[in-house]
Amino acid sequence: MNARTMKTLVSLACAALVLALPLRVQAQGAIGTVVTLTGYFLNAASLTPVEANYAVYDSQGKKVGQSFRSSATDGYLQTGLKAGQTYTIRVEDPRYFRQEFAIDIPATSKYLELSKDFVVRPMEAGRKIKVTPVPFDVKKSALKTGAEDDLADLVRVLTMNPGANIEIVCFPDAEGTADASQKISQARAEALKAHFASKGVSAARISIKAVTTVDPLDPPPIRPTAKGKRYVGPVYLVITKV
Amino acid sequence: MLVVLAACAVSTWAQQRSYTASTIGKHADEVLGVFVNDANTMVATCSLDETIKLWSLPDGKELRTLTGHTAQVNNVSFSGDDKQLASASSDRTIRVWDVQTGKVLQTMRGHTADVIGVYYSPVEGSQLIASTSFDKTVKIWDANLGVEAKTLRGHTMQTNNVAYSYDGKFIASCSDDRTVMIWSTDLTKKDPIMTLTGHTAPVLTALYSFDSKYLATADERGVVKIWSMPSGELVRSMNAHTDLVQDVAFAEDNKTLVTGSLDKSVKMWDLTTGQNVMTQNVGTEVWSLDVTSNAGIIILGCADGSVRVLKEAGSEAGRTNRGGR
Repeated sequence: MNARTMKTLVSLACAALVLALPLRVQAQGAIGTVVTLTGYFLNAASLTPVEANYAVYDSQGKKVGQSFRSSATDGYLQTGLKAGQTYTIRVEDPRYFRQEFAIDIPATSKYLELSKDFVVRPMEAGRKIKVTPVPFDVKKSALKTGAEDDLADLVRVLTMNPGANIEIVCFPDAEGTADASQKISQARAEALKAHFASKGVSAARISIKAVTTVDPLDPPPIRPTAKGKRYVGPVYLVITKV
Repeated sequence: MLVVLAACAVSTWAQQRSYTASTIGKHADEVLGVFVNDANTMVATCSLDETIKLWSLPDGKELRTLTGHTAQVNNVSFSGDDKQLASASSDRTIRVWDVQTGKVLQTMRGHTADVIGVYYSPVEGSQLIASTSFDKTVKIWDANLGVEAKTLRGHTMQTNNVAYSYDGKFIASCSDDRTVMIWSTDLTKKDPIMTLTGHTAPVLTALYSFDSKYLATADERGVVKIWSMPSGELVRSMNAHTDLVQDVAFAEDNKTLVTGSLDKSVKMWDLTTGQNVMTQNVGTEVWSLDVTSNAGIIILGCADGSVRVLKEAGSEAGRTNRGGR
């Protein structure tokens, strides 16, 4: 029996203990199937595995068991959850932004193992978060169609972490005159700020920066690209206060 | 010997075609799509400026500007009877316009990413429209009802452009996955009939000849391939341009192909020999083009926002004896 298998068995036993009380209350005659959720916590900036503290909540908002911690060595997590239920995994670690991940456990009567990775964002002043996909079309300063969906996760993170302030940094699509670059970068940053504000993020928490030169870390490609696949100036959120 | 060489020189010279360039108007931003109607009396252009413009042919007078899309318009296509125009946009919709009134007849939603290619069925009376999108699918729409009729899945990366065969039997789609897929227009069939491989870069466009016997495809490296259809046999591969080719157009003789590129040139090819019979440096990147049926007029959509025409002397009518599509 290798270490990972042993870990799985121990974790399943713990999960069974965690679930034992509610199961006994809920069902007199039937024991619900326990589904194993496995995965890794990953750092959003580097996508490398990280240790993070988290808790599991059921659909009623009730905490399931104690708080958990992913592996310090490889970010691995393993939790037993009831089939047919919806849960929320909440990152509760001062090193990271508070975040929630919804988990739907399918209804099943057989053993099932689900895998899901959780990307967490370090809570550090100066940390830069790249907004992907870029929520603008080439040469445009209005949010592109569908951008609202793409930004929903960032909006959730910002509303769950009211103590964090950000600076929106926008780069132009191409080398151009300083005036033209300033105009589009400024308009994009303002559009994004307005969007966040409209979703409940206090505008006082958001500053903006319009850059007039192309992003040295992600410059425009040398070769032209096909229509629809044009390079759009990168957008970053920089954490200014935690 | 000298006589033979002289005869060859004359023969080569005789095949060269000469065009005069002019600008007929401008969009506020880059022109991404061009489509000439079946009657050769009108050309539609679409742009990064989110509009579509209609121009008369052969005089090139601006007739109307169609507004409504909320993002760049990537392509346009007239219906077989020229009464309607379909447009594909990065706002993820396909719109159908009444050419006479300029009003939107349908706004069709279903793609989950930018819609790049659109092609109206050339069959008279057909209201089917094919579209491609960065969501990797090809969709067929019923423009009468404004609903999605079928989704074709098979490409593994974003799909770039789409074309009906003029006999209405097939649809060709091309993709970043470097393949071209041929699909049946039979709505009950969902798998590709064949997959054409050989391009070594994302394939940006595909177009059938008017007799449906050839398919031209072009890629990001400027390579143009000609395939015999419906067999799918590769007839010719040409290093046509030094930069990506976003658009090609057939003349109604089915052997003349015009290609435009971001290398700022437009070229005409005799497909029976593979010979380049015309090269014109336009001075700006060419995103799109189309030709009148006899290729006497070539309309260009350019990166500087201009709509330009290349006219061959004596080709004012733009067509010979039959309609192209």
